[in-house]
Amino acid sequence: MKKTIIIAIGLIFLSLTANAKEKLYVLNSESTGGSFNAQMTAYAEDLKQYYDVEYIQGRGCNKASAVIKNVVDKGEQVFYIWDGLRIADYLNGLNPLCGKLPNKNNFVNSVLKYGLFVTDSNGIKKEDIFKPGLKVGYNSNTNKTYLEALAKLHGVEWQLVQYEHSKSVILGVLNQEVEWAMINSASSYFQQSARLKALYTLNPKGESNIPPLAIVSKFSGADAGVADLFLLEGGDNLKLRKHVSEILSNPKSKTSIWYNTANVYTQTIDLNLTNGVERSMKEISHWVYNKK
Amino acid sequence: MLDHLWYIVPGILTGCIAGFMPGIGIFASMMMLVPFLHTLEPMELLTFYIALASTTQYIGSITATVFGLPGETSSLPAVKEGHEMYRSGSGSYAISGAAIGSFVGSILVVAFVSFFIQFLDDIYKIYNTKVMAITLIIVSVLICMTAENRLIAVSLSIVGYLLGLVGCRHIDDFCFATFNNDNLTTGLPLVSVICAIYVFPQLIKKFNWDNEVVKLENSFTVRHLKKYVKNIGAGLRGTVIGFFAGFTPGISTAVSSNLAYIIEKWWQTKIKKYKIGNYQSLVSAETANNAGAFSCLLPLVVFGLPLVPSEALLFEMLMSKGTVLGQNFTPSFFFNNLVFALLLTNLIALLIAWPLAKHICYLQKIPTTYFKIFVFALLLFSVFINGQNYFQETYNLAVFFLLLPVGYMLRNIDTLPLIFVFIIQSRLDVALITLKGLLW
Repeated sequence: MKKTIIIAIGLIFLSLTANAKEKLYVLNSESTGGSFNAQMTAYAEDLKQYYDVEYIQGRGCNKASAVIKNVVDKGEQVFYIWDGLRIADYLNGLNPLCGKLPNKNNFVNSVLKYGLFVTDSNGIKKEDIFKPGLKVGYNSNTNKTYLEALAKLHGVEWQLVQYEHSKSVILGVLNQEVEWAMINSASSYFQQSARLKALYTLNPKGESNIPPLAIVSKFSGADAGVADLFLLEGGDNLKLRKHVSEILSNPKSKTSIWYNTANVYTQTIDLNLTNGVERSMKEISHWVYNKK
Repeated sequence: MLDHLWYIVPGILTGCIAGFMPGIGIFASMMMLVPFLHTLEPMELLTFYIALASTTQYIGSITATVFGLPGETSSLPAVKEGHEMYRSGSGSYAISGAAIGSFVGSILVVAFVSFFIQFLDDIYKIYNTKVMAITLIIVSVLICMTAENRLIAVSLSIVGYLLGLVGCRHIDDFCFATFNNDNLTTGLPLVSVICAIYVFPQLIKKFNWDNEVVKLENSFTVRHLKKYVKNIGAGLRGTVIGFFAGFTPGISTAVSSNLAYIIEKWWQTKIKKYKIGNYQSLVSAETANNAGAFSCLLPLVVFGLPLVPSEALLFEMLMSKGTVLGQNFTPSFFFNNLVFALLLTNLIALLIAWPLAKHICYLQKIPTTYFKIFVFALLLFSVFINGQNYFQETYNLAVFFLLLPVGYMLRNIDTLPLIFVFIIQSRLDVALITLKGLLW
């Protein structure tokens, strides 16, 4: 009897451990109210079929860096999203904690997106955007440097107005506080397309009938995209990359539906690991101004 | 066709928890329920959210009144006035007044918005940088000018601003007093600051209720309704102030209730009727937060602009279901979905909160020492749980304990100016930075 009980307990233990999933922390490295949180909550849900997922809010790259370190020090793995412009900031000598560079040991995937110049539906004409003295809205340090360089090349001076995030930039445009503004992806524009007018996209191929900036400007950053990175620390990135690929190829997954609705992101999951890292870094390097 | 209305039930249940526990606001409770929320259809999710956001306002005032704990930042006035009423034996009036006021406020704003529905399309015009900056400055000045001792209020506001400044600012990456500590880069946790500097001083004030006089009131419904009707002016003032202040991005209901509160308190002082535990000030604040909760929702449903993190999460979750909120907004969508769900939720919340007020007096049978120990334990739990959401439990508790001596030193002073400026500091900074850019 005693032997039977021990064997039964042993079998139960074995079956439990056999079914136990690996622990995976999923980290949103930026604010709680943005698209990064949306992408990671969708991934967290979809990844539950493969891992025992625990979700963490990082609330900014400084804190997120520390969380990643804490998780890895505990011997666990953490999957996180990292803003490509934060990496550019780091490479520009700002934010020393925000430089999470992709490599073949941590890279899982990236999404490419292109900035957009927008105005309100009755706003300025395309041909007028290089006039001097215009008020131009933006929402990140890298965009400020970009706009200053663009203005300099065209021999004009603009009054640059800083907003907190792309939603507040859009509100500034709608309220005609600025003549036009630069946003980091077209998603905010598409959500308000009835009230806004797109001027130019940084996508060299154009986007949804929006002409590329490169046709009117010889500025070297006229076709600059940006990559948001999905990285893994403390675990097997190739294994996770395979799961992410399955999730993205399933049209019914939460993550796929979100990207399809947003409609402005290009996935690099189909590239091999080395090309994925190189392509992502190529886009990020557009925003690095102190290249050595 | 109306099947989605069933999701009012889980929304109300979650709202009860979010409203009860400080630090577990609407956003945190939604994050905990993400797996469940992903199973809902878009209309069910929207209905759930409306029920959750409205119920937290009702339940938050009950927790604030009975335990002196603000479940939400909009419940700060209820901690001051409602809890004092509770201690002096008229807690049931505080709860019924807040509940009836919240209900009336909701009905009035729905009626108001329905009347002006054709103008909703232009609602974004309110979000003008100059309007936002001026509103926040006026509210801060009002908080100081209406205080009993203006010099102390101004000093506390400055301290609140400096505490709010700790951390790294998202808009320009400016970091203040972070001392290379990664936790400090995210700023001081709101729940730790409120619990240590606002709630703790209320808790250590001496009070002793007479356990012998605890008994249920007769003709409860009629007497409470009469008292509300007699003071309906405070509710109407709260509705108007709360509705417009609710458009403040990021901190809508906090601004609504606190602004309505300080104005009503100022008015009651002016007509020489104010004494701490003031019914009118409480009703005005509680009516305002429900009105504000509704106005905060409008930009989201009308043109897809989320103003607070919980709305952003809702917006993005709807996107993961293929729905973009705000596109193709029509009056029929507004009436069929939003209004019906909102009115039903408010009615159910009223029916929960009002009878509860009748029985709440039994809690006064608990000896005050045990009551205080229980509330302090609840404070610690709230601070800890909030920290757990962000992987920083120890940090949350450390900030709480480090600020406790400050709370003790300020126990005889109204710390609302400090807390309020702490809450609005980041919004104020953002508005001023953008304004500076616009004015050159």
